[in-house]
Amino acid sequence: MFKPKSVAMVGASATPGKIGHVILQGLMKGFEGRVYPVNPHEEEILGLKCYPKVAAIPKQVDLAVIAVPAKLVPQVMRDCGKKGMRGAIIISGGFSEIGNKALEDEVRRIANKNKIAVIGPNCLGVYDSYSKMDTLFNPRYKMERPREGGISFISQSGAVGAVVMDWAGAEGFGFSKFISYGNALNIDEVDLLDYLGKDPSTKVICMYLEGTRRGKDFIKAAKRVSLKKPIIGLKAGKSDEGAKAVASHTGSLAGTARVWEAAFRQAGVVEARSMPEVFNYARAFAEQPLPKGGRVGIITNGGGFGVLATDACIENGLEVPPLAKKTAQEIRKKVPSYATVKNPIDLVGDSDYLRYEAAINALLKDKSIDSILCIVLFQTADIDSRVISVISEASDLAKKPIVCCAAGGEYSRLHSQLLEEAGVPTFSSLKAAADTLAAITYYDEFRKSVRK
Amino acid sequence: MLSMKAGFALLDKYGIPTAKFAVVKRVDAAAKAAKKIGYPVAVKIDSPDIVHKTERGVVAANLKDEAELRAGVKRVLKRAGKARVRGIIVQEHCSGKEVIIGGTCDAQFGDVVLFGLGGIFVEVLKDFSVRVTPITRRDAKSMVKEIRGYPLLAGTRGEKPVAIPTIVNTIIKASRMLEREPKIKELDINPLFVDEKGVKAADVRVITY
Repeated sequence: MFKPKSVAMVGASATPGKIGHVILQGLMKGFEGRVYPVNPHEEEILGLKCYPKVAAIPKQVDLAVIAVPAKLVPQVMRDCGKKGMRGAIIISGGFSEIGNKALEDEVRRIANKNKIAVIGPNCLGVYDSYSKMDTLFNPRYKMERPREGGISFISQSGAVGAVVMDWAGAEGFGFSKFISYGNALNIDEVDLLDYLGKDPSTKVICMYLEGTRRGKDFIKAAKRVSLKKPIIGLKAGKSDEGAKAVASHTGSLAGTARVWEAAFRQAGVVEARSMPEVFNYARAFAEQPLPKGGRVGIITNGGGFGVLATDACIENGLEVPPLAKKTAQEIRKKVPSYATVKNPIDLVGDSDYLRYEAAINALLKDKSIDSILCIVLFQTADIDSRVISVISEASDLAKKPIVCCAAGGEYSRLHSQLLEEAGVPTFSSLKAAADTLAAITYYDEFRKSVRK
Repeated sequence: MLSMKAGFALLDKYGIPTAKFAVVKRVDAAAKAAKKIGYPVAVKIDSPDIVHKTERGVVAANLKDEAELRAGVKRVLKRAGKARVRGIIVQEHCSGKEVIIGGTCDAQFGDVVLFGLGGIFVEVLKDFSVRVTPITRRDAKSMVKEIRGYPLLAGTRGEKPVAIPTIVNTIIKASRMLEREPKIKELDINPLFVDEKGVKAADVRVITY
């Protein structure tokens, strides 16, 4: 699916803007495999020879990307079977999602009989930033594609997936694979989890889910995978539609939301409650080491933000312990007497990058601190871009996670972006920063508790 | 819904301790059963029409002698009104903290188990935890610990902690029971009394398919 040597684009179109045209264009940008457009009404599309049907392609083909009207899909799938293909991505809609279950069942029978693994139907398909395999039918000038990286994303919804891709592209998040799997004909979220669990270029798995047909298998697979790499889950549709007819307390209490929360917890899936949260967590997992525990060291150049950060950490079940004596002594040597050398460490409003350097290095050495929340208020006169190199250099070598918080206007945003590009997750809100530290701490605890 | 006798038999099968009880038809037989079980006792009505016994007032607890028992039986029979009465349950008096262990079938995940403190904690404050079967020991432990009322079980104000490891085992037994008895649709072991020494189910509601 992600690295085929050859692809048949069934339903290729010569008309710019049509789905079959956009996908073909996408497959011609960087993807190294051979591409065979299939359309009985065209001789040539975008300079490629066009074939009337799959059987007419002279060579062996690995994968079919199918974007033809739903009613034609069974015939195309039979052709693919005869051609000996093992994979198909069916982009076309018009199946069970509009009540046409019989047609979907027919396609499933053909697929299973011919041993064809299918992504879709009714989906966007896949994107692989390394192989440049790209079946997404949203044109590139409207929807960006993310750069290479360690985040992979599984989306049940194509629309949500498209927004995620565009956004991740614009924000500069590094992606490995994206899969929109639609109606899950014979590959579902459980299979995809297992696959991404074994995929070496995937470091973090993000999932957008609306439901599952294999709840218990999902838990098993997710638990297996999350021992190896983190999974972040966003579950949509947690409210119960209407009251169930139940005759017990348990039946009335254990609704969809609580059961999904339980399933995530049992499997070690880190639950996110919004799409921004998914990426806050994903960035931290992708770029920072895991903390060994929940003890946070806070650095700030504004006292108020230190207090707010402490509250945000405590609310998340993290600790903000007093500094070790040695740590405090070391910092005191390098900061003026009016700085507060406690936890949070308040370097005060006239702090420059050197005070940050002293505080960060001391906290990195301190064995009673597991992670660092570094607040930089760029509004002050003495802070400049040099603090970015201090933080990013420390972060490169650190064995504990460092996240930053920089709130404010244009100047702050610019510097946040620089930090972000240097691999330091940087947030505009303390809550987001603390939530993220809590999420990576929780994941580490899960792994330890299961291994024990 | 299974009768209480059948429900208790099911709990016995999975090693979940139950309170001593007898099901009788008349007040004289109730007195005889109470003598055998030993006072104090509780009496309640077993009826397929009554799901929530306490709410319907068909429970009389802590009856200390035969006179109290006879008055209690009369009272609960009167309160049962027109409900079909399968029998009068005479049961050993239980004490300790009340918890609930329940089960239900989720459309996507299949059997799930619920744990919470009995009474208002679960019903009003929605203080309970849930896990999908099969439940591991790690899951069961975290189920007990994650409810807000956990300190009440762990012992506050100089109280001794209740038998938390036994609660954990009981949750695992309930998980096993739901897995092996596909006919169970919903389950409430409520109340399950728990003290320093162990647990004892005082009532069970089993809804079958």
